[in-house]
Parts: sequence; C-alpha cells; structure tokens
Amino acid sequence: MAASLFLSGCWDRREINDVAFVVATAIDKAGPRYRVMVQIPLPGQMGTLGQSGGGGTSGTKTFYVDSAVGDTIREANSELQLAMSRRMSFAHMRVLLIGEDLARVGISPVIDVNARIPQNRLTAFMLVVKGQGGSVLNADAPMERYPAEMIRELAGTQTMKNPRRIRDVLHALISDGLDPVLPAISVVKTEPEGEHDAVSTIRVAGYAVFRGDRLAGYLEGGAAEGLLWAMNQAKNPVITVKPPKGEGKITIQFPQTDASLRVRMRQGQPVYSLRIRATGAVIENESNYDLAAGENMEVIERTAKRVIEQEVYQALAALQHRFHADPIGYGDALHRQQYAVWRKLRTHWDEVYTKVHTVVDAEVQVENTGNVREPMGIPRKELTE
Amino acid sequence: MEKVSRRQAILIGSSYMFIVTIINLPAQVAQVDKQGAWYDIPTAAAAAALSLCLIWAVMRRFPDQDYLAVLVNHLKLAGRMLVLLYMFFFFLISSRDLRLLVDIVSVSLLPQTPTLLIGSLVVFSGAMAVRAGIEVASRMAELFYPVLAYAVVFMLVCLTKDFHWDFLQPVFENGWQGWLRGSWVLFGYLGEVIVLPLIFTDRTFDLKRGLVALGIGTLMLELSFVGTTLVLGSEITARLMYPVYEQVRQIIITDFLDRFDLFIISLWMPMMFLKIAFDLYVVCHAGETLFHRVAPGRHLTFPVGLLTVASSMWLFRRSVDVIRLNWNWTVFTLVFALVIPACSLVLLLFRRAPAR
Repeated sequence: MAASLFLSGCWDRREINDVAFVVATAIDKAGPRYRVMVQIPLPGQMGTLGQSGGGGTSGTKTFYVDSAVGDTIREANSELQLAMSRRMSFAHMRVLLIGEDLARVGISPVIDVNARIPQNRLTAFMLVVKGQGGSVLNADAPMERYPAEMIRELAGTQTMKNPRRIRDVLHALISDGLDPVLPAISVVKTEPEGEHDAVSTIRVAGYAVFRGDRLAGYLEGGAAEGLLWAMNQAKNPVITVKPPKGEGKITIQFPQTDASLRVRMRQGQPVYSLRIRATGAVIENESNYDLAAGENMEVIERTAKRVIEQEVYQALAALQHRFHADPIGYGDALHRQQYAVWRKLRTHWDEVYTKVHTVVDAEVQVENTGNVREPMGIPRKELTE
Repeated sequence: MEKVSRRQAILIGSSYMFIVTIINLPAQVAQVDKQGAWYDIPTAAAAAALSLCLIWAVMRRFPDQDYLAVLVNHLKLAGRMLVLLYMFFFFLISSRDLRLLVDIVSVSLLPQTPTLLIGSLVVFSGAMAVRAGIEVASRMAELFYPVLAYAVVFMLVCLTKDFHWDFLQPVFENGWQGWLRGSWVLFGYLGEVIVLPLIFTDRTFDLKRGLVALGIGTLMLELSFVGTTLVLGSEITARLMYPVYEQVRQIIITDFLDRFDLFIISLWMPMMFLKIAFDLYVVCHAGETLFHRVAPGRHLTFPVGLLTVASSMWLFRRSVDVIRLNWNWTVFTLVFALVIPACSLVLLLFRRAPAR
C-alpha cells in the first residue's frame, strides 16, 4: 500500500482529451529540409449528418491537417507541436506517405525515427505519393471520414497480398539482394456527370520501384501486374484475354495465386525459374466465344498463361535494364538458396543481375465460368465454338 | 521444511532461464549468428545440462542439503568462500535483471517516470514476495508461467500468416564461428538454471526435474527466438533493443485488433517481478547459509533489495551497458556453472553423508 502512494505522481499520465492522435504522416523535401504534414481526426465532428460529435473539438471538418519544416523529421514534429494544444501521439499512425521528391533523394532517414521511437509502429503502411506527399492528405476522399482512412483501405485491399509496411521496407533496405517497392498513389478528380460535382479522391497509380533507398521509377499497367505476379503479391488479379475466334474479350479473375522463385547454377551462372500458379474463374465474357464448347476453356487457359508470362517478362525487362532494381529479390534468393555462389557474386551483383536469365512458367486453371456457361445476350446462332 | 512442490520447482527453473533471456539476447544472437538461433539454443542448453549433472553428482551424496549447504558443511572455509562468490554472482544477476526491466519499462511504457522509482517499486514488491520464504513466489510462478507459455503459443499462431520461412536460410551462414559465438552469449543466461540446486534440496530438486525445467525453458526460447526470426528476419532483429517485444507488436488480427503487446506485457511483467524476487531470495538464502546464526534470510531481503537498486543504477549507467556486458557475462556463468561444480565434485568425490 505504501508503494501505491507513488502513483499520485504518475509522470506518464495523459488525459485522452489532451492527446491528438495522428493517423497519417506525409513527408516531403523542402529544399534541404524536411516538411512533415500530419492528419489528425477530429472526433467532435464525426457525428451523423446534421449533428456534431462529443469529442470536445469545434468546426465542421472531420480532420485537421498541418505541416512544419525542420532539418530532421523530429525537428519538424517539434515545430508542429508548438502549434497544437494537444500532445501528438503517433501510436495510431496507420499510414506513412513519402513525397516523390523525398523518394528520389532517399528514404533511409525517414525509417530511423519510425523504428527508434517505441510509440511508432512498424506495421504502418508505407506509400509513395506522385507529387507532393501532403497533397493526398487534403483530398476530399468522400467515401471515408478522412483521407488517411481511404489511403489505409486502398493500401490494405487494392495493392498487394501483403501490403507494404514500414517493417517490409526496412527489411528490404538492410538486406542484401533486395530493393523496396511501394504502391504509388495520386490525387485525381472523380468523373460524375456534372463537372461541378467532381471532387478530389485518391487512386492507386502503379508501383514505385526503388534502387537502394532511392526511387528509380514507376511501374504501371501490365508491367506492374507482372511485378506483383513475380513477387507472389498479386491480389485477386484480373486478366482480359482475346479469344482465338470471334469478337470481344473475356475477363478472368484469379483469387488464388502462388509464385515461387528458384535459382540453380548452370555453367557457373545463376538461372532463375519463376513458377506461377493461378486458379480463377471467368467473371465476364463480352465476346461470342462459347467457353462451354469443346476445349475452349483449355484454349483460354493457355491464352491467359501467355498473358501472365508476358506481363512478368515485361516487368523483368524494366527492372533489370531500365531501373536496375531488384524488388523481386533475385539477390536475396541467391543468398538463401546458393550461399556459396552469393558470396562470390555479391560484390558485383549489380552487374550480374542485369544479365541473369529467367524462365517464367505459369500454370493457369480456370475453374468455372460463374453462373452462366455461354455468353448471355447473344443468340446461339452467333456464338463461335 | 520446504513447502515448494517439485512442479513449482520445475516452473521456477524454466522461468528463470526464459523470462530475462528474451529481452535483449535475440538481437545479440542474430548479430553474431544471423538466423542460427535455432541450433545455438540447444547447444547452450546442452552445456547448461552438463552443469546440472555436475551439481547433482555432488548433491546426491549429501541428502537433505542444497548445493550451498554442501559447500559450507563439507568444504569448510573454501566452501564458505565459494558460497560468498555465488552470493555475489546472483547479486550481479539481480542487478542486471532489474536494470533490464527498468530499461524496457522506461523505453516502451513509462518514458517520463524516473527509472530509480521504477526500480525501487519493483524491488519493493519482490522483497515483500520473498520476505517470508519462497513459497508465495513459487505459487505465483505456478499461476503466471503457464498462462505466459500459452500466450507465447497463441502469439505464434496469430503471426503464422506473417512467417517468412525463407528467413531461416541459409543454414550455418556464419559457419562454426557464428554457432560458437551465438551459443556463447546464450549460455551466459541459460546457465542460470543452476539456481534450482542452490535453493532446493534433493527432496524438491533432482537431476530429472532439473533437466525437465531446462527442456521447457529451451522450448520456450526456441519458440520465441525462431518466431522473431520468421517474422522480422535476422537483419531487423539484430538492430532492435527488444526484438521479441517488437514481434508481439506485429500481431494484427483485424483492422483494429492490433494492440496485443500490452496484453502480452501484462503476462510477462509479473514473471519478471518474480524473477527479481527469486534473485533476491537466492542472495538472501546464500547469506543465511553463511551467516545463519547472525542473519535470518528474511532480515536480508530489504537491505539486499536496496543494494540491488543502487547497484543496478551504478553498475549499468545506460541501457547499452547490459548489452555490452552480455558478451563477457558468459565467463562468469562458466565459472559458477561448470568450473566450481567440477572442482567441488573432484574434492567431494570420496565423501558421502550418512544415509537419511
């Protein structure tokens, strides 16, 4: 009981209404310095339409955004704190955004403060913003209460099987033979019928590939899909194929995917084999190709296989020859599977990497055609078999 | 008469080598042997098993006496000197453990609270727990340790989706040197399992139970160390101060069920309190063995506790000092866990106490 007397001091006590919970941080370069922008939800404004909440804050917006500049990230945070009546808490920060300028200069300095301070969590999602990092924090993002929530949902559901967290970027930065890759987002306008109804929203716009800790470039479209296939991070990928006969296209979605990368030595050189397995279903057939007839499904599977392999080769070409970056982890695979060879090649791996050959083998199974067999809405006589 | 059951003794021994080892050591083992912790731990455990065998070989000749009593009663002045050294050794262990606990609480939970106050409160609780003997603390261990063990397994089940099995490759990346260095730094902590024969007689402790305690502790350490490697990888693990704590922070079940670290800490913390309580008890028990006519053990707990607080702050000025000590700490453990028991076995080989 005597010991409990000391609890009256309670040095670490903080009332909840004296805390500002930062849910997203965006970091940009401001000349040689850093600009840190934070987004703080305002619980008082988060009641239903027409009512205010009871959180002790005032105004109409559901979030508060502010930024400050400093020589280091911590210094910028300290500057931000000077303009806040509540103590910032980063314990609930779910999203860390890196502006394009900062990404090109190097992201290593950002990682240290996020790992060193125990309040920060390595499980926060990390993304690159095309343009100014802070621009997305001011987007309207009408689907969610505040933009950080939309970014978090986009990162968690629309990017990869295992969305990139600070922990993954840290691992890539300090490991041999692996470079980070992050989803890239940008602010776009919605396209409703009336132009005056357009609002700003946030969109996933490809993937930012890093060489070391510096942004090397972006992969978009088919190359981006190919990168995800190769990394075993394709989340419900969708492929559109042209049938061998007839007009129109067929769309296939693959809820189950798996990729494995093996390396073996051939005449003293590493040769990689990337085996991809994909199981999916037809989700749209706007062609007149009858999938139920004969061996048409097998034909479509072979076509899908070619499309996947093409996308992967497209990604590999960009990574090896344009970006000289290794987000798939060729070096890491060599390190783990052929350590003796890695020890010899690691000092000039950058050179070797651009010349390694990969054999991509995709195994595709289209299990079903959904609720219908033949294309709906097309008379039988117009179907091609 | 001892009121500690054999099961409680096993749990004490197992927790003694597990609770503190998981704080900093995963990082240091990863630093020297990357992902090789899974074979470093059994190697260190084998050396700890040897120390138990040596001590048991002495104890079985002298029924109803713990190892310290055997040294004092049968090696006379030399035995007293050895017991004094053991007292000093466990005093250092208690200072180190207190410093580790204070650091992790200060860094992760209560950064503004003075460390001296944290340490004092912990020692005060520990001293109160063992003031009248070890029975209360052993019952608490019987309550908390199984719950903590289940929590460790639960934690690993939750983290299964974050496992990267390739993080365990390549095997033997740093060769036999990495293996030896990893085992070296681990033995400094695993060797503390010798606490059992120091405080219990053959009525409570025997070799079989000592090895069971060692086996359970080794299994718990394997789960923790390997789990950390599978989730974080050896590169990140090697750079963290508290890698197992960081591993727990990776648990995410749904969007908003991701704060299990406090739950696990709430289970681990009482065991840490108990570890420090047991450390105090060992020191007081050694003092009572030496000076039983002058100082019954219960009169020593608070003074020893105060000294522990002071020495933990004085010997370890900053948190990295304990980490630096870990590299050399194994020398002490080797002496007290292997060298002294081996020498005492040789000296007492042909002596035997009268039958019980």
